[in-house]
Amino acid sequence: MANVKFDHVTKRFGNMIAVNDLSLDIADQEFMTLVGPSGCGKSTTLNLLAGLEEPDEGELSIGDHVVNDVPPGDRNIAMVFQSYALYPHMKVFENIAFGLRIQKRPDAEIQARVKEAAELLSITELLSRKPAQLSGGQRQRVALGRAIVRHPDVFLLDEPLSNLDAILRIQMRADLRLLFNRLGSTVVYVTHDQAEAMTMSDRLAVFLAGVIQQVGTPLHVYEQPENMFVARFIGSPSINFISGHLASNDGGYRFTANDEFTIDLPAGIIKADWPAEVVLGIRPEDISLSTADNSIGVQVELMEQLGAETILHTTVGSQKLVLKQEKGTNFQHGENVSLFIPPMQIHFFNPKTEQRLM
Amino acid sequence: MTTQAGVIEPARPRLRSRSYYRWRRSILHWVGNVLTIVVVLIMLIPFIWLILTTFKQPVEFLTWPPVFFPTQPTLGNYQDVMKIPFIGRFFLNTLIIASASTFLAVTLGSAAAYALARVKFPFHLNSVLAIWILITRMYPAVATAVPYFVLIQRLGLLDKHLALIITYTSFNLPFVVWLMLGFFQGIPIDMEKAAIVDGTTMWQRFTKIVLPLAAPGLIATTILSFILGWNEFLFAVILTSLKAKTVPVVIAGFITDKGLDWGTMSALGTMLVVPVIVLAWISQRYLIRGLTLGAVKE
Amino acid sequence: MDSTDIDPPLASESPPAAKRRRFSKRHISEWTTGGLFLLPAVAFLVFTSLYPLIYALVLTVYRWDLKISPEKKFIGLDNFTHAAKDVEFHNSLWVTLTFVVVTVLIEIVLGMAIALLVTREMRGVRVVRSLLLIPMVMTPVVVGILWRMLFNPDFGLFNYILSLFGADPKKLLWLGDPDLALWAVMITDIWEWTPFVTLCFVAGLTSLPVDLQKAARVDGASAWQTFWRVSLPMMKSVILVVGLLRFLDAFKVVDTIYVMTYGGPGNSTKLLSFFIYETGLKYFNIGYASTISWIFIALMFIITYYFIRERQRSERF
Repeated sequence: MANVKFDHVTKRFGNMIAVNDLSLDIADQEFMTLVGPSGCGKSTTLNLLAGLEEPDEGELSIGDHVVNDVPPGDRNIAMVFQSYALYPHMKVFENIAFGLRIQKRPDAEIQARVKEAAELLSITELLSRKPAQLSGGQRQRVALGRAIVRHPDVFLLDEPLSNLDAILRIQMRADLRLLFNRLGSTVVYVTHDQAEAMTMSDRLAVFLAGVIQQVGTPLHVYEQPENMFVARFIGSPSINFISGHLASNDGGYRFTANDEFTIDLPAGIIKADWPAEVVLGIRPEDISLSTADNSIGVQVELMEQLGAETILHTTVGSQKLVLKQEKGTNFQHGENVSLFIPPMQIHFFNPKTEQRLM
Repeated sequence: MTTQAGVIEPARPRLRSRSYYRWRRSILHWVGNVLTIVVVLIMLIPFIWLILTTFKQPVEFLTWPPVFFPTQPTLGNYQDVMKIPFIGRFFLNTLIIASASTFLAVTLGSAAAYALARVKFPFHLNSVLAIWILITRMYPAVATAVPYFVLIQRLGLLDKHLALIITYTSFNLPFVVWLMLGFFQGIPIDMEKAAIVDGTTMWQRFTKIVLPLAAPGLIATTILSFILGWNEFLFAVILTSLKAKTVPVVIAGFITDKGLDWGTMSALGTMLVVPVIVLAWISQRYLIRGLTLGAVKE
Repeated sequence: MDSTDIDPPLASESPPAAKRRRFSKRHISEWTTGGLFLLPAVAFLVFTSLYPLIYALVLTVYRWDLKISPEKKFIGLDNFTHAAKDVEFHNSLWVTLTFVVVTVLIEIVLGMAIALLVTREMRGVRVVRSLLLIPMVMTPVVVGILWRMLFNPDFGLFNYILSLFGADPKKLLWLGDPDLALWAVMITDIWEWTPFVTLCFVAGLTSLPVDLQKAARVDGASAWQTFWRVSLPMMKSVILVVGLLRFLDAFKVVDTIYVMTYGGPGNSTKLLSFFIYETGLKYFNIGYASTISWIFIALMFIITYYFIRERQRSERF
């Protein structure tokens, strides 16, 4: 196992910068997820680490060796692809054994190691079949087996769960995490699904347009998003943004939304050097129903009954607010309710820079 | 670090220096480029030599080492071509016959392919016809050349344009049907379902909806059929003599026991070949797609 | 979409009740329209292809030699027994077989090698691809005369280039040498058709899923290993189809022979197709020519059948 270090790595494709001056340290045995929307550069970053692409600038190290220019096969990494990329003309056993045969390992060793990997993934009975005869979940485990059997320094996984159906996907999240815990591996995982990133990672890196927006533990990124993009990307349903301005009020502050409502805020939350125009962010799960003094009257537009919880879509004026409620909540369309936004849960952002205001 | 008890720690791949890898990559790349250039040269040099030969003085044909670039370029060979009796007519024949047979093959073939693709005939006719059309492509036309010649003779069509037009149409039909069948089957039938509901006839659906969608296939088959009609030799020499003769026959006629008239022959050959090459260049996307379609699933 | 499989076409819309009556009015009108679409092409082929084919089959049991008499004479299977003993026919078979096998094998190997060269990342791939078209679309007769000039032992470019590598041009008479003429013709065919094979293989290679090659690279395979163990096995179906196409087309070669060697020197380049032409349309021994033709056709059917069966098998990885 080894650590990984990106040192000011840049990668261009023609005029487009796919990865922009990336610096990232991944510790040994860490499960790091690269997460972001399509085209944000996370897959390119993974390919750079794999050696399938070469950086235009910067240095890439695995285990303290600089690996620029080193071909993928010599980097001692293993990769699982979104499409699994199993060799269709070979049986499962040969698929898993492929890398070892290339290395010309003795046959006995190959037998032993393939069996070991197969047992770990519960695919021993599939060894003599061909990929076309397997289900999606089984193919994915074969792809994992092919990666595991090589005992690599780093595991690279490129959206491995995207092609699975929803139920299997959620189950595999736990299975994968347990597997890599057992192996004690360094893992770099790429996904566009923030739920995957949150539930599986030790730390995650949020990407946008080739630049890392924030690196941190899932909880940290959730509780302290550094900019509006991260706040919006992490957490489901997405955070609510309300534009408005701040003014002093009675020893504290008052936030006036661009529409009709206001929120009174105690003194300690706002700093003096903040701009007057701000964006207020509040997560759906932090909004509660209440008729207390500081509440906002809204109208219910839509209810999403998930069974375990209910998501309410409400409007006040032109502002939409989404909140989560526990199961059993039931409102009528058009009904008026009162919401309470707790000041301690509010995230403030600068509308121009989109950065968090501290 | 062992992950499971009892398994040996694998040897890791040897990590060599970065410059080693960089060098290896560069060298392989350059070797590949050199080889590619060699291949291209081998493909091109005969053709270029042909063209250059057409500009050489007669004296320069019979030298050792052979002359590559003409030292005193001349248009004399082309002038000699122009002096061939009826040469204009022979080119015209070639053009007319190739065009007419292409038109027939593509129109009749596409219509037939469309019917095979969309209509389910009784008695497994669809499969029977498709297989039969495939089979006609399998054996060489020369195997039926003799009875075919007799047939044409009995019809009084010898040395008439119509003979070759019919012949080449029948050569091209199987290929056109086969290629267009593939194209039509690839067009989702949903597009036509809407039109069916609107009450259109089959012909209307064919001409207004399906054909435009299958345009690449049409282009490919048109060009390939034209090239075949333009280039064909054997049946041209069998079925024509004076009036409907095509240029390939004229060229072959230059091979006499008295040695070859290299200059005129090359010039005539170049004049025959260049239009086709230009046509192929312009339409290369469609051409290549049509040619490779049979071999590779899209 | 598999082109040699006959896809059952899509059934037209019809209400469930009508399906029970196979010859409903709706069906019949559809068949009529469809039939009209189909008729011209089918008529054409019946006339120009099926009829001569059957006529030729009938002629196989006749002696019809215009040099002897303009009348046909029924002789049963004598043509076939003659063919079994005809040394010239056997020679043609042998020459043809050699020609076809050698050219197809070399074209496939060379074609694959060039396809690999051309599918790398390099500038000018488009240009190379279009240049590859040239030998393929040149009129075969012109290709024939071109190479005839190139193979000229005294003034030809081919011998000259070989002499630069130390060969003795005096010994290489090419088209004038019964032992070398077939090689000259094969070289010509290879030059002419390898580009076609290359283009097909390029299409095949580029249609392979890229992820597989990435996976092989990550597994540590070198470029050669990736090709040999991963790409090539997946190309098996394409190789068979292209091999079959070239195989069938190689049997049809006549133009270049006519112009380069006219079957000679001696009989050394008398391919079957040329032999048939000569027997039937030069010597007008029509009955015997028909017999040879049909033996030829039968041969083709058998070979094609085996090829297609092999391809069906390779489809199911």
